Amino acid sequence: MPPRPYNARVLPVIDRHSPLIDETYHVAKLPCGLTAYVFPKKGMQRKTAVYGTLYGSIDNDFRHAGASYSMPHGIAHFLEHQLFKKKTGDLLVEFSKKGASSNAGTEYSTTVYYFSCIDNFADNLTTLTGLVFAPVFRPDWVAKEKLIIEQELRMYRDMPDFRIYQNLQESLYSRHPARVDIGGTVESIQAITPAQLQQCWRTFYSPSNMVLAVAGDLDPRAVFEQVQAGVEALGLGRDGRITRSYPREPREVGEARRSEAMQVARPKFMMAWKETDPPARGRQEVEREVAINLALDALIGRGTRLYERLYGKGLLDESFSASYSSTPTFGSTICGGETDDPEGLEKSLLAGLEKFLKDGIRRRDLDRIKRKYLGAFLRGFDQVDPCAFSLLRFHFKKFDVFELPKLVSHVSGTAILKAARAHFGHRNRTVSLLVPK
Amino acid sequence: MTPAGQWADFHIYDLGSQIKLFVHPTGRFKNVLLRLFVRSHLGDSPSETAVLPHVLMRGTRKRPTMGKIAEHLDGMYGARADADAAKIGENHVLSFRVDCVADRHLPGRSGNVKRAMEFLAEMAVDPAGNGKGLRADYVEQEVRNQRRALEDLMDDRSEWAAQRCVEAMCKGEAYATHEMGTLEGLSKVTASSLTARHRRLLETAPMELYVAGRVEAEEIAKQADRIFRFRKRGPVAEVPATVVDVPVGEPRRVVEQMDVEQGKLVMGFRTSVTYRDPESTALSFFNGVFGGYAHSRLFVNVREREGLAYSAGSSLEKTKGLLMVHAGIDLKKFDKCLEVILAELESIRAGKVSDAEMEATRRAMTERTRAVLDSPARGIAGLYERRLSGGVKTVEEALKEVAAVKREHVVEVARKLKLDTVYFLTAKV
Repeated sequence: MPPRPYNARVLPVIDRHSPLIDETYHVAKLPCGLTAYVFPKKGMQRKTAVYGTLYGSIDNDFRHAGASYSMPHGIAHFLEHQLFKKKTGDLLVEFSKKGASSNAGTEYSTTVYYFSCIDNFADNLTTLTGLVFAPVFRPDWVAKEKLIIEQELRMYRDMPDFRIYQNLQESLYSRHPARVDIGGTVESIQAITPAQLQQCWRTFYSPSNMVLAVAGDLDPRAVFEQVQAGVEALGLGRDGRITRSYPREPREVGEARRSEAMQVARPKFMMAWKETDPPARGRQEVEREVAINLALDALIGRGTRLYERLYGKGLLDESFSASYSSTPTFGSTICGGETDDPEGLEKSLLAGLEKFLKDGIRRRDLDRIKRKYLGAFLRGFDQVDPCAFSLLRFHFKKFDVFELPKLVSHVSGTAILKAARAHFGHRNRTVSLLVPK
Repeated sequence: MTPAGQWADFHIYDLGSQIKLFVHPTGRFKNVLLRLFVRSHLGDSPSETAVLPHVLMRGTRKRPTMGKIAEHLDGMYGARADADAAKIGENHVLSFRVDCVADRHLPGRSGNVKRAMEFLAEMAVDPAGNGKGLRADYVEQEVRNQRRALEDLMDDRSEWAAQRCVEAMCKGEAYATHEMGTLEGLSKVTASSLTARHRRLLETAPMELYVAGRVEAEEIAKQADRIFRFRKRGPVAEVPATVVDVPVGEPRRVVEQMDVEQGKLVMGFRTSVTYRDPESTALSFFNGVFGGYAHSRLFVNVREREGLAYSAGSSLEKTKGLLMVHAGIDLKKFDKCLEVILAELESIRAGKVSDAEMEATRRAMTERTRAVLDSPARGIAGLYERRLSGGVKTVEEALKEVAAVKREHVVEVARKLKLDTVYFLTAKV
């Protein structure tokens, strides 16, 4: 078939190629305001599409089109559930009937909606577009959803890992809304009304606040054209400016230590350092994330002497993990796992950290860890879903994912040490424990 | 080496050491997967079998510490290795896994895949120690970790409820044992008993090796034949078959209490249908209509219509022939939930399955079947699992069977289900 000409209205399309992995993705800013990515994966059966909005559980106070709003906790997650409800039924069921599987997830600062399928991709994409851009808020549906979400919140409260994490967040932040569970509370969701859901949707689900990422054996132009036509048909266009506001978060943690008793087999330990100076989105944010995570890998990764020593002593086991992540308004390093001796583990980790901050990272270790990162990058695009999700994640970070290997290879031992010294302080550190009842 | 046969995309070889090798060469992925499966019966020293992979992961003769192993793997462009023990019917399967980037994508002549296979063998066969046996300190530490992991099971309420239901349902059968073994069994494990267990497995356990990715079958076969050599191996033991047909009486009810806000309902059914039976595909189809998908009866009715639960669904174990229903429900709605679930089953048995349900399930199963083509890891796992009960099918064969399922097949197989156990985890009063 001869190539169809570009629809002039969706130009320009930017192509990004990575010679390292020999893959290309395409991105276009559509006239409707939506940014759309397509990652063609030739020969693969599966196709995946994901819409994301830069709106999550922390965005409750905002100004839009001249008015100010203050929404109840948990409304972003509630909205995520409600958008699946249409006059024709639940879209989760609708996708399933077409052989596709779909889901959605609300995070602190983003919400995503996705499906994957093999056949009928265009049809499913139309359904997904309708899901996010054509809402119905009926009072009886909203009332019933409260029952389902209440069960979801209770399910989480029965999970020890969730409980210790939630306590940690509450200690870490004294004012920032990241201290509240993403789903809100059983009490806070009772106050949610259809009108509020409508307002949040109107503000945060305008095409210009959203992004679409697609991966699979697909023609990028066909996808761009379909989406532009679909959004246009719904009568949506660019919308006004959104100003989000967050309370000023102090540099120190709210509470240095917290402990709760629960019916668990043995103690669980979590320790965190608050990001006191979150970098802006873009290269800076990614550089900080890479530097601190490299530091954590060199300090307490599987290959380190510290890990081996603590493992041998029984202070930690395979449940232990450590990682850092950050957004423009909050972020942290969180580490922890199960242990019989939380105090012993804390002491050993802090001693190891102190030594690390003094000595820095060994050249050999840095090379080894960087090789591991490169391997993970090379493997990262083998499956369809990660291609779509990486594009989305890095779109929100305002960074080209294909630039990642170069960025990692350029991070120096000195830069890592500098970032680590600024981050791992005393007053921005907190500990959360769960002890057997 | 000449292949002993070919099945779908797999080239099959018989290695000198009585190991079957399956190679799936494919250029679509940058990752190469290597899997070694070592099989025994779940009734045969399960605690020792379960702890063994964790001890072997601690160190090999050449790389006696976790640090040395991690350094080695990171040097191979972040190859990943791990090992565990899983339960497939009443088989207890040790699986050793290494994933690495294909040589083609790496600078120079890296020999990455060959090194990965060498490490796979090192991990399974050649542990750290003084040559006489496994290191006592490693054994002691891993027995301790395993004991903790067993105790930690209750921290995940859903998994705990599922395991407790299986224990009640299959009391006296090997299947009741958790893949991690038992606390009692672990208390008896010593370095010398575990060393003996390891040697016995290497000498007599059925083993299969799988490789998938950008590789050349012939070359892999030659390497594997050279690398997987044993001091002593064979004759390979016969592993007793999984017991499927068990008489079922009146459904048993088990209620347990815990510190929970949400109740967990688990229902165990015996289907007496396994992979090898002609009704195998119809059973999966029934599960699709009943509780396997988001369009299924359980999700639509228990969650969406009644608002009784956040989660509700069913799953199959087709080696043992079980169907399990799981629901996370409001504590006060146990009876109502049970009633709704059983009513849905009865309606399917009475033949009330709509065309729309049939077609939605057929589509979903077709897509799930084809999705295997995108994932060499799932291809390997699926083939191995099916080989155990003798119901191996290619993707094309499986698709044909899905296309041929009719309503009466679904109804027929639904009637074979026998409710064995109802388990409810509820709050303390």
